[in-house]
Amino acid sequence: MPWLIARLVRTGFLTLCLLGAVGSMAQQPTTLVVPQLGEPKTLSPNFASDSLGFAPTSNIYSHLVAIDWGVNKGTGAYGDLAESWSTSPDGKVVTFKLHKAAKWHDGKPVTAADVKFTYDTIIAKKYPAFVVLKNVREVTTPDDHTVVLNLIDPEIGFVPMLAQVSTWTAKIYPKHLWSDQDGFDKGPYVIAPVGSGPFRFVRWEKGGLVELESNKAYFRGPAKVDRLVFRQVTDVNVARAEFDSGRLQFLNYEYAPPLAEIVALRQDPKVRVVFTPSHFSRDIQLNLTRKPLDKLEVRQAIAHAIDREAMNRLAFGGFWKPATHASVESQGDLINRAATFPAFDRAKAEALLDTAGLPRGPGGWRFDISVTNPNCPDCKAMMQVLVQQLRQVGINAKLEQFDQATWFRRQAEKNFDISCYFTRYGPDPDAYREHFMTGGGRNNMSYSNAEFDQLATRAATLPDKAQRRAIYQQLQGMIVRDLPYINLFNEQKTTIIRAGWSGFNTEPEAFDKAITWFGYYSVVPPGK
Amino acid sequence: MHVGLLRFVLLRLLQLVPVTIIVIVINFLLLHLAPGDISTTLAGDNADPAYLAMIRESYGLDRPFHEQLWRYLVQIGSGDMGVSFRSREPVFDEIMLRVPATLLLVGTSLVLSVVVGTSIGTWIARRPGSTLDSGISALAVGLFSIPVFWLGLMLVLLFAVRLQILPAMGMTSVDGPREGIGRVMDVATHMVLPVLALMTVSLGQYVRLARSAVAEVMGESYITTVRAIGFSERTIMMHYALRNALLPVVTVLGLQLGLVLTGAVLTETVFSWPGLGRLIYDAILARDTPVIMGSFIIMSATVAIASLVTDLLYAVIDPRVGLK
Amino acid sequence: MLGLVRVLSGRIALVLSMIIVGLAVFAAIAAPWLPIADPNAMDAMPYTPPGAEHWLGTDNYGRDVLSRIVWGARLALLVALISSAIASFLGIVLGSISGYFGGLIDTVLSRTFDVFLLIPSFFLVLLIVALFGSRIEFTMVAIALTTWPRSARIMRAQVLSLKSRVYVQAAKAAGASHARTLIRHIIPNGLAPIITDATILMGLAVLTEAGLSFLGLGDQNAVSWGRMIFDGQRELRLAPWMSIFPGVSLLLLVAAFNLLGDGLNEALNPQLRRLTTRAAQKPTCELVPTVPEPDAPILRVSNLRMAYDLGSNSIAPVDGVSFTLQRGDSLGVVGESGCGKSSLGAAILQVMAPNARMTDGDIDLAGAPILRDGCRVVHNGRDSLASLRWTKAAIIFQSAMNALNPVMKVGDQLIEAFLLHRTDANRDAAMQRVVAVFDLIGVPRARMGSYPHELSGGMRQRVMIALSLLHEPELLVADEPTTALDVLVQDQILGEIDALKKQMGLSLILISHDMGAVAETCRRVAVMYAGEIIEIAPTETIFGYARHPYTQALLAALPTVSGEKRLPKTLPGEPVNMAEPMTACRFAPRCEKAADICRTTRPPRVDVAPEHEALCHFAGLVRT
Repeated sequence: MPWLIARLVRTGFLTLCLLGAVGSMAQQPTTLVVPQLGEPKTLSPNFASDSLGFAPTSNIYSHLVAIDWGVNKGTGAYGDLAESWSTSPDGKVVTFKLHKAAKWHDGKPVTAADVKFTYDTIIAKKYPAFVVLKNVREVTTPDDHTVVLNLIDPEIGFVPMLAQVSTWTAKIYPKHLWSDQDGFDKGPYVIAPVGSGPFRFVRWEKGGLVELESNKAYFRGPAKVDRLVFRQVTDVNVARAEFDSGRLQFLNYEYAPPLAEIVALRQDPKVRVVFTPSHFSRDIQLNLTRKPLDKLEVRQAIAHAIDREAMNRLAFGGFWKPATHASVESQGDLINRAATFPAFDRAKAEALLDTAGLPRGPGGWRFDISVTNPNCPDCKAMMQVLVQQLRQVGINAKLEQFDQATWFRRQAEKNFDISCYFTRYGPDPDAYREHFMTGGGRNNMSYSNAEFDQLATRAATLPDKAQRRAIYQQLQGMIVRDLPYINLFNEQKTTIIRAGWSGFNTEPEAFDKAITWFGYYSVVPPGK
Repeated sequence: MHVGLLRFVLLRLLQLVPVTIIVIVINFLLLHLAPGDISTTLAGDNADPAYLAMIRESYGLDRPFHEQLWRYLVQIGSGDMGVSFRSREPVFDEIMLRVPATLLLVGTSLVLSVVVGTSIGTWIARRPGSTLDSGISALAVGLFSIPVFWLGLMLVLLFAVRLQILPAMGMTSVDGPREGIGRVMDVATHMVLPVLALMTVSLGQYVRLARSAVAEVMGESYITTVRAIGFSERTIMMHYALRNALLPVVTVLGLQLGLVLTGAVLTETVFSWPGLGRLIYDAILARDTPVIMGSFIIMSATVAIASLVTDLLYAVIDPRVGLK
Repeated sequence: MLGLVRVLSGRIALVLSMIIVGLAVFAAIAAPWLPIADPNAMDAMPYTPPGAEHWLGTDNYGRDVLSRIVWGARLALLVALISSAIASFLGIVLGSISGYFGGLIDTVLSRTFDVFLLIPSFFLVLLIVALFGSRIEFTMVAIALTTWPRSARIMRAQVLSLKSRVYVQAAKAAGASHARTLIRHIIPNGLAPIITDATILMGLAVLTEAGLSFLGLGDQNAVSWGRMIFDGQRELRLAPWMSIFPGVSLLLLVAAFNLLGDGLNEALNPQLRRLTTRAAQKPTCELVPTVPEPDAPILRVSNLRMAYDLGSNSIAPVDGVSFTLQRGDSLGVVGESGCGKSSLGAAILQVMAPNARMTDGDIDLAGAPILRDGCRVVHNGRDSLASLRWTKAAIIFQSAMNALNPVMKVGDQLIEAFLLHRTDANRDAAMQRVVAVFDLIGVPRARMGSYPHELSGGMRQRVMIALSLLHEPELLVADEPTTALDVLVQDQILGEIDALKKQMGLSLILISHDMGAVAETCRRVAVMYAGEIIEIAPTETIFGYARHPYTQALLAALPTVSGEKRLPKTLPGEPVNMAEPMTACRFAPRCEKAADICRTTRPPRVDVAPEHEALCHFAGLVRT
């Protein structure tokens, strides 16, 4: 009898220890800290474009369809709340079937009515996502889990574009909480959002801290990270110091170290360096309404004056990929390999400028020009080098820098000479229209080519991939000939990650899983 | 005496009214003259003109200048600072949320630099003209010539990066305790570097001020008298000279007290300190007019009140000074 | 020129700062022609550490850091000069107008200055630059616009004090217009503090521009040190020299501006210079105390010499003084300004200025040695004077306004002085004693709670006397006690001192340039000239049978009320300059009776009669 009791006690004791160990392991909450350069202005993303709010809100809210770095391998869009969708043959009706298990953080189910409410409000109030939703004539909900978008015009690229804009400003809001507010900028949920995403909102400490916790009832299964904290870190060095000391687990492209350090970093076994191309490029837009940029020879000369290799070396430590076509590598076979921008040739540049009637004056200068850029570090670095390269051929280039809002406004007003830009080529090649069609939303160059307009409009309605590809390649040829812009690099994001962590949205294993470019759902902490 | 004092204080506070109005008008004018407004900030890129128009209308930015100014003045007159354009939160609340952090940072460095600086200055004033005196005086000049943001960066480099003994960002740790002694200690460790940076830069001023004030006082006739009466040098310095040397220190302290809310924007940037300076900077860049205006009003009011307190202190310390 | 060199040699910091500013100016002007790389060329290898080819290394674009530092000096100086010039100009103009015209204009303008000073300037600059663009011109104007009220305030204060000066009134009476008066007469004389403040403004402007560049709001195309630090932030690990050198440059230039301002301030304000003269060493000598003889004179001074150190010079205001004062006796010390009588008074009780030192001589106070061969007597570390001063002997300073602590009530000052030496007493006892002394002097009790500035001149002096009598001293040294008062009060006070002397049996040394005052109160008179007692005798003897030509001249210069009206004889020449080398008999250059012997041989001390000495070659001769 006593030996039985002893045995039982021992087993019980061991079991308790084991349970305790397991329990304590389970009880150690894993926290992922995401550093951000600034603080969000608001946590209601649909009202105004607040880039610092994109990251927290993309993890709190869900989207009808989502897009992430998977565009690199060709995924245009994938469903978030939408389980599946189909397009009518005439391209004007898109029907979405929603996941039935999706729930709001307060427990109520997500229904089609929420989607309709959100999109109707955006359309009525002309919120930023209207730029995509303006093609929606009506949203109907035949049942609780079906949403039908009736388009005005057929648009092949509609769903990918919707996915893209959803990442920023078209998240799905709960109708039962917002219906009594007049607009998405009022009410308590602006600063205390209730969504249906993988993380729930916990608190916002003004001054730079937003805390989220894992949504255990998430319909895809809870995230492996228990706590997600967005922290304002204004200084890049401080972020680096925190990363080095282990208090930060990763640094995204905003904090990427100078690329000259990458070699050393790669040799560190505790650190992983990930390069991720995107469907954006870094290029320069030339304002065709400004003299002497209206002369083709001048634009050609500028193109010849640019040395991409040197720019790569100086601005990116040689780690970026120069772009010589009017497209980026992720577009695959859409690229017209034969249509290339003029090659680096200073002598030719000078000769062209002389022929154009702009000889070097007594001080050595031919004409003045101003160069500007948006507020991102890669553009800034590139334009510094560009200014020098232009000056080498006698163009008196000067940098003009503005804060982000002013730069946006000046671009929209076409108040610039040359500006660094981030042209988009995906998720659907219809993006060319936005940038190069007469009156296109991003056609700051005032490029106007009737043939281009015609072809591009047609391509937007063609369902056949091969036909579309042919047209887009033709369009690329036109751009490279007319030089309204000059492509310089494929955009590339650098992320450095602590060993042991994986599944960040910029890594291939997280493509089509992270849920938006800012999603952290797929992150796997060490030991899990 | 009490009635006179009350009248003096009231009169000075009343002066705040025209000052506030002038501050508002100047800033409003500047903001209006400058290109751009909140609508492009909120719109981001590629904004629909309809959206821009909607924003401008809902914020009243499409009205003529004088109408906007008048509405704002009336609003301020009724004590309402309005809501932030960006976050739609009441401006006053937004500012008050950040004030404690800035007060903690700047207040602590100010107190430390006054106390330490005055002590050092008094100490070297015992032998004016000696090598120690010249050396420390020159060093003090060097100290307040240091750009504070550069010093902050160097401190981060040394303590947080190389030695890794102090945190370099924010006011609290991410996982830190939320209240009690734990939080106090957490905030205290985070305060060390920024306070050190700010304090170093303002220390030198007080060293020189105290030194010249004490040295000058030590040369006054009444010091000769008390020396003749038989008081020790130490008593003379501490009891007599210091009291009179406090006057210029109080003056400068008053000036800096007024700047207590704004003096730290550069330090707050380097250390990501969640303070008022950074709020104003972000608001200016985003053209968030109500926050900018509200901040300037509060800053000016703080300066005015600090100046009033300084004058009152002066009258207490130096009976020769009357209240005007 | 030599004076400038002398001034500079004592100030290493000032010299260094001038060198730094000079270097910066040179770099700024000569930049385009110096053999340095193009600051914007991206040809070199990036991230090169400082070395032979690039002395300060290269940055992340391969630009030469040294070259960028040199060109950055250009911008820094430009910002400094132009901002401070605009601010000073605005300040001078508006401050002058405000101070000169006064009235409504002044009220409006002053309020404007005040309002501007209330607006936080850095944020105003930030606002302007952020709103209107980050070009360097805007930055300079913005900085100037937020700093001009400082200069305006200073200028206004200067104009206010200058416009009532006599020469200004004269100019206006002669018909000068407002503008002319301001520009020719007032402004040039008020510029000194503006210039000093301008150097501070320059340093401030440089730091402000650097701060703006660090926030990313600086000019994009110019090379600026602040911007270099901003660019270098990201590269701190790879290229820390990108941030270190511009920071150091900023520090050095701004410090140089500030030190320059200091130096200017001292040069333009000579009274500040005394703050930096070295304090004299005070040697001490050990002596075993002996029991003082009962009949010892209350004061014995022998061959006393004192020197003042002024920079590299020293003068001797007391140069070999000897006399003895018996208990109950009274001695007057007279002479011209600068003869050393006040210094003598201070030396007796060792209350000289910090830059004075005793070079020789003995002092015995009530038989106890205080000074031996110019050094203070101590025993076991205790200064033998400490127990005697203020208790056995006290001094009444001239100009009690400054001699009393302005921020303490007079009653409290006396109470503290009492309690210091009477550790056994409590505050009540002290109060009683103070009241008693006030009654003795004739100061109303109610005045105990007054501050010195609330009392009339005469009352203040009485308080001073009360202070000296607190511990019932035996010896009172009164240094020009009535000089600062009007004649009627003078007479009163002197009378009171005389009465006190009789009442308390005081020994008195009265120092004065007023021979009449001395004649009434003192039994003996000593006449001082150039640091020496040239004649000492009982009062009647001095006035009747003075032997020294200087004493005779002094007396001849006294106007008389009786007798026929005649012009008093004045003494030719200037009072002696103690810094210059002197003739053997110091009075010789001005003496009627001077002969060659006077210029070459020191005059002997002649015993003319008992208690009558004169320092003159001709003292013993013809008795007039």
